[in-house]
Amino acid sequence: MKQISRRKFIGLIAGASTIIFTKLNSYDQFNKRYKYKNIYQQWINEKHIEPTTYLSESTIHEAISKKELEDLIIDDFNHSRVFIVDGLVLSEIEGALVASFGVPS
Amino acid sequence: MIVDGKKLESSLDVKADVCILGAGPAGITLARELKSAFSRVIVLEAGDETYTQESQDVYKVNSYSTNYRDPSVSRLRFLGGTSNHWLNNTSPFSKIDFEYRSWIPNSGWPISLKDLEPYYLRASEYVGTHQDGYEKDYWFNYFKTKDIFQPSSQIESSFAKGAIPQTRFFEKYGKELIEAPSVTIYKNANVIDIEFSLDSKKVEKIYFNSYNDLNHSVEAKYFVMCFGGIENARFLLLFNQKYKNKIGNAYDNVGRYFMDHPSIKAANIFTQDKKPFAPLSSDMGDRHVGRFFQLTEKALKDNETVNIRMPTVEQSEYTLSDGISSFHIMSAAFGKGEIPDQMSSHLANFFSDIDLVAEAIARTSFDSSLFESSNDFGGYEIGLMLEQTPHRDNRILLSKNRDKLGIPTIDVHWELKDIDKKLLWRSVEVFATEVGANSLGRVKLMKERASRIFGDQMGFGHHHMGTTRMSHDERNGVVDSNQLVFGTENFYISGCSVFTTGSHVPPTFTIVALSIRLAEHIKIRG
Repeated sequence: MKQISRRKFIGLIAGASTIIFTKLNSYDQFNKRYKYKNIYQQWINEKHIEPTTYLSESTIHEAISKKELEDLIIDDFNHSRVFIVDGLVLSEIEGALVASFGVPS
Repeated sequence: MIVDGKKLESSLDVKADVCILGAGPAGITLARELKSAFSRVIVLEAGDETYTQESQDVYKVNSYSTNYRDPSVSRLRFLGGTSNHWLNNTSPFSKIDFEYRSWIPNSGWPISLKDLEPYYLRASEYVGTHQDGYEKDYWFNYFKTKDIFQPSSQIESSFAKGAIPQTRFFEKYGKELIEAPSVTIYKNANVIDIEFSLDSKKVEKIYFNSYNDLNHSVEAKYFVMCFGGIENARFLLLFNQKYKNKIGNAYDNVGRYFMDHPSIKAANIFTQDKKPFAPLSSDMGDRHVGRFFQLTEKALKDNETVNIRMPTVEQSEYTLSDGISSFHIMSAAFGKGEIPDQMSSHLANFFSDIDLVAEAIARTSFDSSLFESSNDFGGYEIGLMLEQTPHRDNRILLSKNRDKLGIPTIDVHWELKDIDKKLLWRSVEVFATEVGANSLGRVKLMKERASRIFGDQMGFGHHHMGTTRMSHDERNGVVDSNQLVFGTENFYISGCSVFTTGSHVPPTFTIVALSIRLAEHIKIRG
């Protein structure tokens, strides 16, 4: 992801969208590693692009405002660009972020 | 006048203008509509004025499919029929419900919403919901609020109404019918046989019995069968055994295309606050009005899917827990020596919600609670009602066994087909996408619980539809656009057995509207 930390990004997304991020973030450490690895694999299988590459190719940057990000998420939904994680229907940008947590180290 | 068939001392041969078989919402509506136009209207009701086990036992079925519910108990066999325990939840069908939809095999009524609209207005008086309609703008104005979805959205609010107390058709209209000089109601009058002329194509007589050695007959100009969605098929199959499929069954359609409204907990909504999906409803003294969500006509066409009726119900963290559900799914599978599908997801759910699983164990085993926070607001559950697609293999068949009157009992074959499940998820995904697009929250589809939500957790509207379906031609149905049985000149059917497709809303309002329309048709024939 270009010039933006994951921590800052999740803060932006959580603030911009109405998703209850704790829903995905509540797993214990073992499950979290296991879960995000699977989500990353699901993303790759469906989108055929690295989630970090997807995010960097999106118009997301360090200085993006909450409103701009919210609009991007809404635009995703308006164009049916969704990513379904364990049944939770996310925008692709949200999905890419969650999948990026599972990038193999 | 009301006559108890059990008290008749000798065989009766009655002549009538119209003979109505069955006194549920359809039969009672017809009798009320026809009583001024004809001098001799006979109503044959198999049950008594109140529930009796003797009568109800005749509804016992020989068998029904796994995952369906026993229709012996969802219907009531006495004057007023199943309106004696219905919830009185009414909504009209939409324009698209009547149309041919290329993505739904066997769809397309021979009538349109325009044909039924004037009768819906009158039907609303029958069911006790008044004539102020179901238009969402009217009701948003009443509630002094607006739709939470944008007008361009693929999702919209819709409103349902119900009378308070629920309208029991015989309680409400029985006295008027009994006092009408033109109407005679025979109770405990079980139809057992038919006399049909292959030359004139007319039903000439119907025979009935009142649990004794005497058989009685009714000769009439017109007969209308209003036994309900299952019994209409049962008796038409019986009559066709005698007359070699000449009564609307030349193409083996009677009893087929059986549909219900499966009720499925398919999704949950997570929001930051309680407001967007909080129930919008009101008790207005003698009636109740409430909102539900549905797909717009454009969404149905764009996505080539079926509609779903989506009321939202507030839930706590405890009731929405994935971990508890996964715990039950794993327990059930392990108990059978099996590993459940999506085992890894269930394990993850179990560990991430371990506190709520412990809460569930404490509540069920020790009748006590561990965490107060488990009752905190968690989101909304969508217990949706699905429009089931009509399929030939879902059907009512006569069994080899007979009831105490000598009529074959039935086997009920019902299954939720793959197309129904596919379209269900498609429709819920449309809803989920629109919730996101309107910044209202996020939706979680319960796909990982499929084994349960399409299994032991599936509920039903108990709306038995489609078994004598309306069609343009005999090849594809049983009755024509006037509900006249194909191959006959004077034999009509009313009730939701004539529905070609079943929409996503309860059927009784439409049954009543169709019955008023049928009465108009019979009056014109004279």
